[in-house]
Amino acid sequence: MKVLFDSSVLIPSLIRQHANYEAAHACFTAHVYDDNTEVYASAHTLAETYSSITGYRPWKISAVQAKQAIDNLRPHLSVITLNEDDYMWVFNRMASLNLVGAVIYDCLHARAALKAEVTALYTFNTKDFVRLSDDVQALVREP
Amino acid sequence: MSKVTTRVVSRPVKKKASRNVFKRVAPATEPRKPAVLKMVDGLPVFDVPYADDTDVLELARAERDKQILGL
Repeated sequence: MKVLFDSSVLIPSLIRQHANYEAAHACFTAHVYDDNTEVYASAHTLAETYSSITGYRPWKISAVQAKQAIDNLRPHLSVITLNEDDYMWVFNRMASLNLVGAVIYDCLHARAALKAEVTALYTFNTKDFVRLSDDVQALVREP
Repeated sequence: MSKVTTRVVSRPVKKKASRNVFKRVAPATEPRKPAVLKMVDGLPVFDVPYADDTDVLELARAERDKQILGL
């Protein structure tokens, strides 16, 4: 089985005091240590995770700490990168569904999920992903 | 001839608020210690000094959008 985690799950799985920590960490850990499961994340997810945990100042997470956390995650993840054609696919999908704004970042995760041919895309932003058409909606799971 | 008397009413004296700006303290929600990175179940986990239900992903996206637009 192949599963992909987006940043709305990775971030709380990294922050013990986050309201969604328990659910996110339990789901992520269960899949990481399941021998029959391959865990994926898009490169964009890692960038968003870094940006969010260092950008929210009250958490006081330094650049070095955030890099260390990403380094510690890397052995447990396969990272999916998107190329030019993938981005064009994303723009086409957004335009065909008449979607505007930040949902494009969710569409990047969705493209990565389809590219990796995962059977589940774990996110807490289910309402945004289900707007991205049936092929994406079929993958969406909440931890 | 009538005698005019004046009654003095004492009012409570209000203390002026301190204007010493150097005495300002950080809000109670402000963290005083940096985050600590630990390993839990072999995975990285931060203990942060302050947390709430803020959607940090949305905040980060909004901040980035503002920077891109030069706002």
